[in-house]
Amino acid sequence: MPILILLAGGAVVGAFGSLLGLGGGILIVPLLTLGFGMPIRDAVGISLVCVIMTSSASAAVYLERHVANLRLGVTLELATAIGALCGAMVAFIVPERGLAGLFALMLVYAALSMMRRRPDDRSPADASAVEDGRDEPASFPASALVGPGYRARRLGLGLVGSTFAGVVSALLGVGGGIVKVPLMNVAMNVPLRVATGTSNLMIGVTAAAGAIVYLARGGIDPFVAAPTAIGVFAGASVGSRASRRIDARILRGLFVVVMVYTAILMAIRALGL
Amino acid sequence: MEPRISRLLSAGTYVAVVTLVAGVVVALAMPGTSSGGPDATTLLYVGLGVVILTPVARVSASAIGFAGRGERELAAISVAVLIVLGLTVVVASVVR
Repeated sequence: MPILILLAGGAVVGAFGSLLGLGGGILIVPLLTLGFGMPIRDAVGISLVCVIMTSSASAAVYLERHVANLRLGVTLELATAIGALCGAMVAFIVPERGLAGLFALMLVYAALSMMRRRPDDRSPADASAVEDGRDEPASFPASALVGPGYRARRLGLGLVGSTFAGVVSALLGVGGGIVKVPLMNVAMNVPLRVATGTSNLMIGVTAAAGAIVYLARGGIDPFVAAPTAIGVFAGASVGSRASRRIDARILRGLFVVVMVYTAILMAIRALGL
Repeated sequence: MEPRISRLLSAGTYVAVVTLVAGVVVALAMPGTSSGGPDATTLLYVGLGVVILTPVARVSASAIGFAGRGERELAAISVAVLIVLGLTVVVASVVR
């Protein structure tokens, strides 16, 4: 597979993903399968590598700015890592067409989520945030749930949802933010910005658990993974700088069209038409 | 602890990018040696290893940081995450 084309393809996907606030995994698998004709399972392993790189870079920024909740992230990523281990094992049992069908469903869900997204960062969780949140509370589990200006709740539900996010991540090659961010924001009452930062932090470990399985089973071709990952990283870096200068509504509209079209192609693949 | 972990993640990412770029450059410079030859392969696998190990190093740093602050439960959870990742290596190697 031509290295330079993979670099360029990865850069486009990385830029597009970062402009939309996505990890990129949801776009990398379609790029490699529909664009380059790779089997989905091979594309998933490569996508996980790309997802780890972009999440490590962005999590560093979120941590530096004290937006990510490290304690909550560490607590929930135990569940996502277990889920990812299970998901990666299941991925080698599920037939190719089954994976394509699941991916199509996830694309439809992503498109619907994007259509419903609010124009700003405010959420019900922000409105009910506690005013006396502390940076470093004394004991666990309160220490994992309280942050500046908010108090998270429903840790049990968060752990169950995070396990599911881990399964989805390893099965379909995505970071799982599409599950974790609404889980933390809506179900656990974590402000959206913190949920996004914490999800980014957790994505590295979640995707690493999945990538280890794919790598050990020879499911990651380094000559495809490396240029794609470099392209995605470079594209995401450019995209994050350009995001303030581009109209988000137009991008979201474009994203929905691309996702629906890709979902149709994946569904056709799943049905063997 | 957060600033230290942030620097660790940044450093891991940059080392991975530099190693992967070096591997790709070698692969492009020697196109006749079946996708780049052994040197490119080694560089690329090292780069992929750094990518995957960066979050693992972050969890290790968290475990040490929490233990140092006396937050034993969170240190134990961090160690449990490392155990799950270790288990992943074992399961992926054994179960076929």
